[in-house]
Amino acid sequence: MAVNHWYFLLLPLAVLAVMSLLRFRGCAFQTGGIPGQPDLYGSAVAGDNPIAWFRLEETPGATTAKNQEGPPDGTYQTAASPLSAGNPLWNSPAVANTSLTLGINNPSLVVMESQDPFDFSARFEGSQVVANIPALLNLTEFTVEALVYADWDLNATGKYYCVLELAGIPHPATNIKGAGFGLYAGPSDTQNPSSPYSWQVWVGNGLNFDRLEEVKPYLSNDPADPGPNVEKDAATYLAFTFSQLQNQAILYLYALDRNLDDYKYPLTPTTYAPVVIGTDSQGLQIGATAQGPLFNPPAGTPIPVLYPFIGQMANVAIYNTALTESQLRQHAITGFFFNSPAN
Amino acid sequence: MHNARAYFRSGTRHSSHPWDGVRRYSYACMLYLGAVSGIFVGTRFAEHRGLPALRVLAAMLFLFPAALVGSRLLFVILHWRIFRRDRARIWRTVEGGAALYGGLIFSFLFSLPLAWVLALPLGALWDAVAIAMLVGMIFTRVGCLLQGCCAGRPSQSWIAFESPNAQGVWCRRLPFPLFEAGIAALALVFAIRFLDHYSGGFLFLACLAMYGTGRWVLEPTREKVDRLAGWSVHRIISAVLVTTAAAVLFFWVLSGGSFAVTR
Repeated sequence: MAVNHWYFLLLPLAVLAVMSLLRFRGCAFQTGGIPGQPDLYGSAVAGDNPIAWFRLEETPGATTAKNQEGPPDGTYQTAASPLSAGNPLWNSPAVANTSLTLGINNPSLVVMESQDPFDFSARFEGSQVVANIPALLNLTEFTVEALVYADWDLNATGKYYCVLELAGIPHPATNIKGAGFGLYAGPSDTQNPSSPYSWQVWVGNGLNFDRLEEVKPYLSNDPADPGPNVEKDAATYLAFTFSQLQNQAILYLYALDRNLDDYKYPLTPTTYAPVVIGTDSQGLQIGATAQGPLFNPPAGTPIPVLYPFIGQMANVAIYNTALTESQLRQHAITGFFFNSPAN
Repeated sequence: MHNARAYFRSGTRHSSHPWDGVRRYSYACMLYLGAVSGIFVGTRFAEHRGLPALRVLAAMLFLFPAALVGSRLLFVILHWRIFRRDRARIWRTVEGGAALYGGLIFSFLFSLPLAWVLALPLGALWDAVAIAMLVGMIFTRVGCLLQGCCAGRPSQSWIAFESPNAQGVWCRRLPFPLFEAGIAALALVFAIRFLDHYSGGFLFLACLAMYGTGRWVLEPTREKVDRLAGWSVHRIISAVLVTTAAAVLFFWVLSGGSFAVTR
């Protein structure tokens, strides 16, 4: 077919113009909701009005972690390899090869999951999400929740792994961070580095960070209750509620193989200093902290990444209220389960 | 029925496939190639049949964006529960989301005044548009296969092979986009080989009936089937279009209408 009209030469340009204008990228959703399916988890969380919410379900190559509550979003960052542990007294793990893996899914395990665009997580190893969100300042009552899967060697004890942290700049007197809060995994007995790992809450008291110890005996009254221990090969829905006014702090753990009602750990509150305007340093950190060590000696210069979380994570949300147990349970249930398509 | 969300035990990563770098833009690239090729071939086909090439080209260039808009609109309608919550997403086309039948229906409606303005016979114009659409579909569905949109359902059949879905999850799937490209190719070959002597919309209606029938048969091989009250939406549309095309052809022939080519 010979081209015998000059205007055929304009055809590629005209089509390009139309496509540039409409920017079609495919005939199926590549992000977002399940066509025809209700987003049960999303509805449950959105209904409780989080002030920051990162589902961490971006596709590979993304550099922005979307804040479902609107801007500002977070930024994915990966530390250079190898990541140093810093001073041994800080108890931060070293990472030989840092990495960030987005969009993890396993259709071979549960076939229907391949149809669920919500079923993705991010894997951190010397990487993190950093988000500077003004709404997180001055929090005196809050809830933090995250779906986590620990992937480090649990037999190599004595280190701390940061799920998330919101901490202020180091206190001038101690040169160590003294405001904010963090969700960590670390030795269950802070004085015994070889004790098994447990999920822990640390808060700033104005001068440094303190761990909020679990009230013992545990509520379950079960001698076999291991406490909020980190389990190998198990996804855990972690939630922490804090109310300065009510002097109450509670750590909740929900796991598929646990009774969802029984794992509630009241914590012993201590003095708490929130991050306030003017003292925030690098905002919310998910997957590591960049705001210095938990322990002395203070860092002479800012440490870009400490306590890197090694494992998968999704559905990180922060609320400016202390959610009730039933609300959290609903999040956990919808986070772990979804309605599969009717067909 | 509930399924456990056990993806945290995952070892499979959809980011690790060597094609993933190509995957991201494959749909847009193939849509572009398909549109350029389809419009060119369709226009030349119309010119071959005695229609003014410039006006046919202009018509097709107007119908192309109309088809894209229509396909998006049908997708939005079918997934209104999602778009109702976030209406800014309706035109966030970079997220993907389009339904071919919407493009066909909307562009047909748009062509009614367009054909009148351009003084083109509607039936003859749509004979050419049908050729353009079939050519374009062959390219575009290859793009779908590469990108993972319109993915086939997971299967261990001998005809299934490793391919992604829109979320980048790779597994053995039935190659639905290739099936659809095959329907388009067969319809195209049949139309050019056996229907070239018919015009006035006959070729268009015949192609519509062939594609609709093929789509109706193949719809269950898709991973995601859009349903309304349990019925496959695209099967319903296919059935309606096939029935309409067949009925129009039947009554047209019955009433002594002519499909002679005007050259």
